[in-house]
Amino acid sequence: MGDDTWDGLFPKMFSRSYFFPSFNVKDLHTVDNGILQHLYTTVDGGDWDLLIAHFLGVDHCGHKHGPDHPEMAKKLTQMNEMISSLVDHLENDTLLLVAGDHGMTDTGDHGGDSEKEVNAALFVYSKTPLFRAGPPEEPETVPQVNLVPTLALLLGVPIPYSSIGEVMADLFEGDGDAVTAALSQLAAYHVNAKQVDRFLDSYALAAQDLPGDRLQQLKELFTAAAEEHAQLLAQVQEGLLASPELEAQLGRLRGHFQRYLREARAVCTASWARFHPFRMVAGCALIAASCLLCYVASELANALDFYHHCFYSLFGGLLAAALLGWARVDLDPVLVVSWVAAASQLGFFWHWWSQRPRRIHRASVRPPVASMGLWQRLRAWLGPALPLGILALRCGAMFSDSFVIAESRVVPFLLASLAMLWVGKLHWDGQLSTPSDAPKQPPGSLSCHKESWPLLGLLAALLVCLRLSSLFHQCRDEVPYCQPSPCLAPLSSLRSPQAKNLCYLLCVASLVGLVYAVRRWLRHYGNLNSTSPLVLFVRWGFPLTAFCIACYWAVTSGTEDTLGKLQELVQVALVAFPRAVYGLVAAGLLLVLWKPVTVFAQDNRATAGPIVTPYQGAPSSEADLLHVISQIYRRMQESLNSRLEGGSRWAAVAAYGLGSVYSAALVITLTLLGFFLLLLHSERMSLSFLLLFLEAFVLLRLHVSAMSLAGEAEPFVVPWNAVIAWVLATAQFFYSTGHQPIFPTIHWNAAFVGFHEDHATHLVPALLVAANTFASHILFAVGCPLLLLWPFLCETPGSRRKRLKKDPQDEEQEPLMEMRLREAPERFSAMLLQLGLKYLFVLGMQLLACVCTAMILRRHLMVWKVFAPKFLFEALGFVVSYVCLLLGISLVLRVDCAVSAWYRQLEPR
Amino acid sequence: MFQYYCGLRSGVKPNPSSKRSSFAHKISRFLKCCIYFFMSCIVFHGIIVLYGAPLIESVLETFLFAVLLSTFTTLNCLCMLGPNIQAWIRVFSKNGAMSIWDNSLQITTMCSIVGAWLGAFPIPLDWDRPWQVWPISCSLGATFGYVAGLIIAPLWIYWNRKQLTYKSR
Repeated sequence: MGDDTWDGLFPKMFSRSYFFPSFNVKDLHTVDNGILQHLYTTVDGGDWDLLIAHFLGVDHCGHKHGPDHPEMAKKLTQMNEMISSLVDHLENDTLLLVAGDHGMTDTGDHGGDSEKEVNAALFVYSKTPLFRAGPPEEPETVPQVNLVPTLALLLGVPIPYSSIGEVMADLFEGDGDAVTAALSQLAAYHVNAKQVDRFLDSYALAAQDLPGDRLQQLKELFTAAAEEHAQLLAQVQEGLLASPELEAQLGRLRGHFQRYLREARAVCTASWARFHPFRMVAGCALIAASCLLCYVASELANALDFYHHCFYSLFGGLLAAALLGWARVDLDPVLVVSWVAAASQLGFFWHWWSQRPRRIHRASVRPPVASMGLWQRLRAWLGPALPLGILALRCGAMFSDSFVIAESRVVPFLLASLAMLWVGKLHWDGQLSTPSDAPKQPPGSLSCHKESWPLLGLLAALLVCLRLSSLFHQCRDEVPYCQPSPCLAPLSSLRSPQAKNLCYLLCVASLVGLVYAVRRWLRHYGNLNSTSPLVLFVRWGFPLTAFCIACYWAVTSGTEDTLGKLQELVQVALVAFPRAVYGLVAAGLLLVLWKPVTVFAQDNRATAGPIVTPYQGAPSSEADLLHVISQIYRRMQESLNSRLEGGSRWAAVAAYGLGSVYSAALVITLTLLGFFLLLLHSERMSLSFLLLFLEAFVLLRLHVSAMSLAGEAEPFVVPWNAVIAWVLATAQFFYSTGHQPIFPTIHWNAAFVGFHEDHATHLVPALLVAANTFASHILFAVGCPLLLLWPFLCETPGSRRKRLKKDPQDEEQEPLMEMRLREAPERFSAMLLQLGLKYLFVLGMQLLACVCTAMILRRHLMVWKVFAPKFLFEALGFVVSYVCLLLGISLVLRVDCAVSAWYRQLEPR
Repeated sequence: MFQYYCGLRSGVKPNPSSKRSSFAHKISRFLKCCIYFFMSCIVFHGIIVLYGAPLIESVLETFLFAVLLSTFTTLNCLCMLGPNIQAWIRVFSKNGAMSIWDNSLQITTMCSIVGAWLGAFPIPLDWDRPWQVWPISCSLGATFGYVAGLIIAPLWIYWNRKQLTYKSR
């Protein structure tokens, strides 16, 4: 009775059963009260051999409230009362076994292998005395596998075939004198040892993974013990031995059996973790080759023959697939896929290599390039070497368990160092101070560049963000004296109502701040003027979504008891509000896909004014619109110019927000995703999400001002600094949203946001939990194209004017911003590809380091505790990032198509 | 690099180099140096805390570490260049060094900063050594870095003497 998992595991095996739904962690009482209803009547009925009552309240309470909560005290008291009253109902020949299947960490979770999680209490009670000389003071720890043979023998059924447990001898003493007790214990041991020996024999025949010599040893041990046992039994029957001698012999024999059973278990546990070294090395090589491919391809993306490379790699892959299909090799699908991948990479590299000599030849034609000094070449390498060095440090840090455990502090440290190096290198190259003509001028003449102050401000803001984000960390159980962030607990766990209200207001304020900041940003760039459905959604749907989230928080943060009568209403609200948010977010995303253009166009061509400046006829009198950067698409105007002959009559279309049309769509998408992910986390994590958006913004600004200061001739190329900082921020916010790469800290609660009852399938909860865990991966990967777009966005009219001065024909010197991208569509797509490849390279390097760690340190003490979970989380994070990166890039391409359509629609008028 | 921030953030404008070598002028220069040193300690403290040092716990140790770092960096600058932030900014850029003294200043300062940075690496390791406690390893790192800088600087200047003469033409 109780947990319905038993029914799933052993369907139709119980003669009578009372099962209750077990999956909802928030429900503390249904299962327990159900059991208590039936327990005593069933026990008193007496028509049973084995009765299992699986209580779940304590486990759920641990997950929901933690071990040190008043709820837990209530629950434990209830269990205590249950046991003491159950004892009164027991018969004399009944054995009561109370066992926990696991312990819990300080946060009330489990699933790892720390002492606190693995150890659980075992309570054995019987009305007839079990121990002849009182229970031992310090009871020994009993492995959980020992329960199986013990219970089987006590119930009088054979020990299950594949059990490798050892009987608990204390329960087999019976109530005779010392010799009889020892003899009955020995009998139990003998049966147990025979069973284990039989299992090992047949297992060794079926599989070869147990070491032969150890098996031989075990076999000898068993035969010797069994023979000795038989002899002893014969001697006892004949009555040859005096009592003390007999006892000594019995004790020795017991020791032999024990040794046999324990060694058998040790052999099995040691060799049941098996590895395939060849496949491991091959997998590592494949990942390494993929990283190299990403790097090479990102360098090549400029070249036009990139499509040839793609063709060759496709060809290679298809060839391998065809070969495998032709040979009809029966292999794992995994192996087939990896062979195909390897072949396609071979195709790519082969083509790349065959192209190389030509390039060298070409270079030698121009001697100045070839004879570039070693020093200069080193200089050229130094640019990407600094950020890549930081990346190397990050990858190297994965090889030490201490660094993996401390990674939540290592990543911000590296990110801060990277930002410092970035700015420091700008200063070192003299780009922060205006160059003075003569080097021997008096020192006072050196003045700081105008833009260096904001740059330093951004750096300081970034450092503050990094520091603040460490307030939201979850703890690993390896770290002693670590207190998990109080923000991780749900608001309902706060006891003082004032603190609760204050926190609630703070969360709502951060939500409002997020909405306000995004709208403010869109308004600044003029993307909030049009009447397209998307803009309307941003205007009205965003506040509505935020309102729904705030309501949901208000409902969840109340305690269970306070809302006695409104309970049903609360149940409805708990489901309705999150679903409303899901619906709104989905609607918003669909709108972004359907009509991503947030441009407000005003057609002035009808008016007969001689020259219509774009600012004339601004659509509203709002003060912000003074900043609105209106856009005239140059090509458009040229075509109009050519159409309207004479040039005396000008006409123009004033378009607001055309310069930021790509980023606006991305920012709206990111905000929507942010709402969704915010909902899946506990209430106070919204502060962390606000920090995430802030830090992303600061990083983008830093990237832009560094680029403009460095005077990059090529605004299309995103430097390594920015990409690596972006990836490091991803990892940083993985930790700062309260996650750790271990299983006990997964936020399982996320599966029940908006779903109160059990899920029909496992897909929805899995998706929700994955979205919760990889929230920062999703946001940063989708936002990755912003790294390319932002420099165009921040192009101020002044800076452009300076450059355009040479061009007298340009009369209106409006910044083109993102429309510059449309002037070179080939380069745009190539650079988007390059950015994606760079991002993948950095992620892939991290993954490679994790894989190598898990491979090299596979016999390390910490492998199952540290490296393997880290590898799993990193691999899943990579997949999530990869998919989201593709989605982000395809969103940009979709906007591109939509903008083209928008122009076409404009043209014929 | 840090020096630069110290300089910029302290926000004190240097007065143009007046050549009065009166006693009062010397006193005011000395006082200014003291203020600069103190400010650089505070700025270092801030940066160290932003880098992840505990905020309240062991605040005295953190501040002493900041003082140590300032001693290795700011004090040198003050002694060599005086309280003249423009000169500091000039020295700590690629072509800013105008004498071997400037070069050695660059090298020792950077070495001590890098040493302190490297000193943070052993802190998370589980070796249970007494010197892994914050901020001992960083202080050791800064000290060793400074010593290394003192050794490297003459060697570097010796190796690059041709280029240096070319530069100070």
